[in-house]
Amino acid sequence: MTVADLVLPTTKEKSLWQKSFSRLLRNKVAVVSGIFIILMILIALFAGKLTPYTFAEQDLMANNSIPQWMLFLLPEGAENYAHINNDYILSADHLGRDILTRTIYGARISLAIAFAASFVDLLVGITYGMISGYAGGRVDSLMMRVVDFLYAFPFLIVVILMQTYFKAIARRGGGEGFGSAIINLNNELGGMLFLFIAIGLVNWLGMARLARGQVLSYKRMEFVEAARAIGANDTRIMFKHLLPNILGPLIVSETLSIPTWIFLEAFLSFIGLGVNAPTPSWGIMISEGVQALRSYPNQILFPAIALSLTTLAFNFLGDGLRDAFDPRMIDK
Amino acid sequence: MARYIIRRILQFIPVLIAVALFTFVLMRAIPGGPFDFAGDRSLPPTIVANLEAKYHLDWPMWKQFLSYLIGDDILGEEGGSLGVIRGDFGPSLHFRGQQVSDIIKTTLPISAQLGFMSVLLAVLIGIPLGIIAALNQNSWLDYTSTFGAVFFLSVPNMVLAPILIWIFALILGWFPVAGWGAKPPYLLGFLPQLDQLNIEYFKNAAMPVFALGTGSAAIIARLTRASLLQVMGEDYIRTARAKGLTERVVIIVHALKNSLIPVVTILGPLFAALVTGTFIVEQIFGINGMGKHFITSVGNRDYQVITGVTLIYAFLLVIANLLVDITYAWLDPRIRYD
Repeated sequence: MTVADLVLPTTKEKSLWQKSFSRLLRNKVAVVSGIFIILMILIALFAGKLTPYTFAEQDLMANNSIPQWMLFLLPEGAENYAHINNDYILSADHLGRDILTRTIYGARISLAIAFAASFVDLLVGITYGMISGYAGGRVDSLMMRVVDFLYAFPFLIVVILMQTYFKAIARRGGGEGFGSAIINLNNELGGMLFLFIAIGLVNWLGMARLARGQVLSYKRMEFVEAARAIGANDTRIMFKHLLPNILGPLIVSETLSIPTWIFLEAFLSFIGLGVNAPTPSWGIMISEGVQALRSYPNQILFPAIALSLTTLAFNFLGDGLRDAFDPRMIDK
Repeated sequence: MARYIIRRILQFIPVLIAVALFTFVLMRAIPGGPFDFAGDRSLPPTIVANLEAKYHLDWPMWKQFLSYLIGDDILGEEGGSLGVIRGDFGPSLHFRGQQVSDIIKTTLPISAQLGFMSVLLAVLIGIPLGIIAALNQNSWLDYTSTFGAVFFLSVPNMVLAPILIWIFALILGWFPVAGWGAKPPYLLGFLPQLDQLNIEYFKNAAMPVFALGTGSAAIIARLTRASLLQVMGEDYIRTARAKGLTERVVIIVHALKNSLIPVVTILGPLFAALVTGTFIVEQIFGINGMGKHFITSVGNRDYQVITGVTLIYAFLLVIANLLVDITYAWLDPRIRYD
């Protein structure tokens, strides 16, 4: 750095967020992953316009059919049973449904779960953690005791049990009042609503701990003191002054746990506790693909690739975000 | 230390009771009972009533729960339940005539063998890979293993398992498609008998263990790398080098032990992930373990099996967390529990 630079700063000082963002843009893998995710979101949004078929449409003349170009995937002796049909470019499943269409709609379920679970996680976790950390004292230790207690629960099994319960309730359906309105909405969404609730309800604990820790490290700082001196009340201090400061690391940590939500949805769908048939989910398609693996290994391929690539992209993006927003990386 | 362990064990009891209560209440709140159908036909109401009376399903909920937890004789009631505290998880409602504890005794060892080998694989691959990556930071070795770790972290076992079957069993024919080599009775209650421990056993186990273990191996490798890199930057490493110690001694004696502390903390959550994995992997490879049985029971609404297996899982997870905490204290003398 020369003397002239010190005397006359030529560029305006960039904000912390801008610096982090430009660091992120230099990470090529993260940028490619980000573009891939945006592409997946667009595909999920316009799922209905991309293929001439719907996800539930059955063409029983074409069940287990396979296009010419995929024939090499089939085992030996396949020419005796393979049914070639080039209308479905990624082949059709055992009910004659287009696999391309179902994979595309599967993106909708996976991403919806990923974002809804993240939203619930951030909302509940941050609110709980901030209140606990900001209140301090007895309230804090009581609220954290509750979190510690719940942490010891085997949460996966809790989700399985809750989904079992929700699905049984939803099967019954009908009735009147608030409960049945929820059930009808859930059935309308192909069973997604209860999935959101079950996944979101049990997964805010880690976020609450993180938010609390962040609040504890910031609440004694001068800017909080200054805000209080000019008469800001607790709510204002918490949401106007503390929240913007602690949000960065929390969002980065949430991005890193998105693959977990996607896996969880796929897992629940795989064991039959996910969305309702015929709504496609990659987990259901993989489970159906496993059944057909011996004769038609082509059917499992595309949902499997879609699921793996999406989680790969979220992992790379999350790693990139963490590196870019890590305070220890600043000015390097 | 002993006092700490005892206090932790006492803390687990309310957690286990809460898990039992939650599972118990939720399973009984589900509309439709286990005796609604026999095969495809619905049963006449009188038979259902008799069956419910036999399994005490006509009792009030609190009494059913207590009977389940501590047994009928302590409650002063007629009935054969000895209660969970004496290892009696009641009869299976779906597989008539089978006891839940017998089901657990035959299926848990298989899951345990599968899980143990997967952890072993994860540690044996993960830690060396992490060390190699950290010691060759920013070299092609580092980039390859880091990328490989993210890759295996992102490919779930429900994708890995069928692809392994497709390539190595169906196309190449190296390994059997499904099954597990060991059958009950087990050695010491959970190990395969020595005469069953042949090449076939390991051939059967190879693919499920790989499918289950690679994800954990990836997590361990990433963590070991990050943590070893951090430790290598510490002052005491510089001191050790300044003393003239060889690089090998610096790494093995000084750096490695401290860098493994964060790796130990992840073993608790890893164990939980392994449990999820067994549900999927056992299903795909047709292994008759506890995970597969649990999923089947959820479908059958077999309350007794669900509640019993849930309690076993909760117990194992709680024990795993305790072991992690103790190992943690042993590795890092700065941590003292009193």
